[in-house]
Amino acid sequence: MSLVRPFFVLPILAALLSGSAAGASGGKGGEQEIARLEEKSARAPENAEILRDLGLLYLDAGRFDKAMARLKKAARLDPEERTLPLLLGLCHEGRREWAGALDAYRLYRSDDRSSAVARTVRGRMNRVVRMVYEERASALAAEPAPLSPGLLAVRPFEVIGETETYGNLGKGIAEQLINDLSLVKDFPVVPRLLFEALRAEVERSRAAGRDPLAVASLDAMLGAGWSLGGTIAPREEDDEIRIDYFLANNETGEVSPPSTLSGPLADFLALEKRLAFDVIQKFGVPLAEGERRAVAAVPTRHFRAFLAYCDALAAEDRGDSDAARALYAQARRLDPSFALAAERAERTAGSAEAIRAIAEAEIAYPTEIRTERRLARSAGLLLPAPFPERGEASDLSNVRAAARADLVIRVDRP
Amino acid sequence: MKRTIARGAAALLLLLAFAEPALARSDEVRLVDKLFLEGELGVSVRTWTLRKDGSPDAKVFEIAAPARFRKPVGAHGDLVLELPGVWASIEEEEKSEYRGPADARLSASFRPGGAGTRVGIFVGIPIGASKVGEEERAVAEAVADRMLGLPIKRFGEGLDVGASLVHGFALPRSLALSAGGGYLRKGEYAFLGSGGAEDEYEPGDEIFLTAGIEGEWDGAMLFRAAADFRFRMFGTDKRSGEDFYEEGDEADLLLDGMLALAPGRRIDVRGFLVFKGEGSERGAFGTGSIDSLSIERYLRRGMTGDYREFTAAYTHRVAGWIDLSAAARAADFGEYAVANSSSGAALLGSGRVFEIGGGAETDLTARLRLLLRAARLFGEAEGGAVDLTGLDLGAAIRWNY
Repeated sequence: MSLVRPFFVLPILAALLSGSAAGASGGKGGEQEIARLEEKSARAPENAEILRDLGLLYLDAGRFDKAMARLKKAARLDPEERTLPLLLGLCHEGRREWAGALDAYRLYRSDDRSSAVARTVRGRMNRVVRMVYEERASALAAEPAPLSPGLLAVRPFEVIGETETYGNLGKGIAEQLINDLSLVKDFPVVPRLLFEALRAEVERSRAAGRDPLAVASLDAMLGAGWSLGGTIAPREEDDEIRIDYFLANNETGEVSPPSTLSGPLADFLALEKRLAFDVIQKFGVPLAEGERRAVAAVPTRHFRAFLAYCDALAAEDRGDSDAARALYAQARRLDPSFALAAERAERTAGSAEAIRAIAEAEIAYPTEIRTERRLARSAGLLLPAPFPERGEASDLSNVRAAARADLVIRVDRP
Repeated sequence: MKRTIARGAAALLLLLAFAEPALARSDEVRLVDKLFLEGELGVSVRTWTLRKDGSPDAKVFEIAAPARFRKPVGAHGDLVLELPGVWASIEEEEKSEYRGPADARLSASFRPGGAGTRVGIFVGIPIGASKVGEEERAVAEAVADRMLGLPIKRFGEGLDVGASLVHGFALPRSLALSAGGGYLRKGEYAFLGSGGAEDEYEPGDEIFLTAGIEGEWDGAMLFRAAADFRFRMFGTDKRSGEDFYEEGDEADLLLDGMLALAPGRRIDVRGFLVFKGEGSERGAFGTGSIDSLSIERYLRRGMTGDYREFTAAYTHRVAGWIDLSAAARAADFGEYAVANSSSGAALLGSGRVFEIGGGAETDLTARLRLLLRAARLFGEAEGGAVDLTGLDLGAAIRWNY
């Protein structure tokens, strides 16, 4: 088996996939290796392993077309090869073919859906989705979408008062409202990630001296016929929170008189649900019973957990994955039943390096894991073995220990 | 003093564990960096009742509570610290009991450059009790009986130091081979003989040689088989500076098979065959007439003859989150063999032990795994003169970071 060196190329790959063309070369050593493997492949054109290794080298060198051709051929020859969907996904990403990348990652077979590897691949898919939004946002900033009268944009609500603690509640309520309204059939809503991507794009344009907002508002650029916005005023000393909200018709310029909801802090998400139902009613959209139940479901009843979740959204929006991950984890600690926080945490996983590392581990698995297992077993016979699972005690634990060692699933081992 | 050393070692390891910033540890980082620290806390309870005509029933139990920490060092190294606590007793007409730590173990392994050679180092840290008192001596000797299969066979010995070197490699298709050797220097320790007199005991050093092969075949089902041969040579034990006992050399054959029927369903089988050479008569306890021995005296004979063991287990994942297993074990023990017997004494140590049981394993969280097991034990020794029945229970929590 010919193995390409794993971590030598990671920085190059990372640079490539983050959009930088600098360093898009496998180096002299890489080129020599490519030439050697091409020669080998010419002698054995049906060898999927050589084609896969070649594809990997081309991928690392940023030569995505060649990589794609080799990898696709390898996939045709050996559809069971576990590495290929990952490498093809990275290849598609390199070519900015987001749908192709998502399709490729979907083909990766993980032994365990809840494993770190499976989460990482799903995290990568989420990042691809974010890239799709970034590309769309860039296009919208250059050329706003035509107005869709039924499309609703939910703006982050403005927080009045203690912004240090509650500042990100505005993002959280917008996210939650979008989640709820998206559950309703025939109620088009602008995805929050697209709204945030457009906002970031506009900021970049303004920093470059061009202000797209001079021409059209964010909502107009998105083609949203309606906008929902408002303010949140938390008052900790009174244990009360007040939400004022309004609807704006972007076609006519009319703005509805603000509506107000208030209640204890802990009931914040119950207030948000009332707001969502009020908006649905104002738009006159009929609700099926299943939709009503889905919208009414509260992701958490723990207000502090929801606050941590909102902070995580903000951290994610500013690209701080580590902070977002920690905050999602904090939300889960405060409310272990907060499944949405766990789901969102997946979005913080899945760097290109991690995907590449998984692919590398998959390639190395057959020989590496067998060598490692053999060495461990042999070494265990040479000195007093670890206690007690593989210990001197001749009991059932011996077999279970052996079984457990073998159960280590490919690269899923922690 | 010994306990202080153990506590210090554990504290140092925990300190190492948390020396790195916790927030930076994410699953995707772990994919590249691998495991940071693994800890395991377990409790195992093994009880036996032994019956013999003309002797009161003897009850033996041992509760072992080992704490185990594994810290990967670099990409190809591992450091393992094991701190076992034990509570054991034997009750016949009188009760003999021991509670306290057993010797700790520190082992390290390293694969230079990640290649096919693995270097191992082992240190047995003497924090357990070797100088047990009169009331603890019966249980300290009985737990070493191999038929009982207790997880902790000695509460305390000397400072043991060992090293091993093994080389292995995987062949392109499905085979992997390995061969290696090891040396264990066993440290001397003091013990209290009968009458309370202190004596020095210096166990003989041990040399290990091994060679093994395994194969893996992946078709509709995955099949894996392994065979390992080991040869153990024992030096002469010394008591008060004089040669005392020489254990017979040993040749072992370990055979394993695994058939993965489908995801979450597998069958494991194991055979372990020990061929024991003749030991010295002097210093050996494995002689005497069973008729003249009480159960307690019998268990203190520490016999080491041939040994054959066969185990089979079936594991089935239920509802996608819990692995249930059923397992059975049969062990056949051969009598002690003596070179050039001068006394013509009867040889002891033959018997059969069976286990039938099961277990469960599940992930409580992404980083916390629970392991449970239970088994019924029964058997007989010395041609049916001794009847054995017992129970084995175990639980462990494994945590990784």
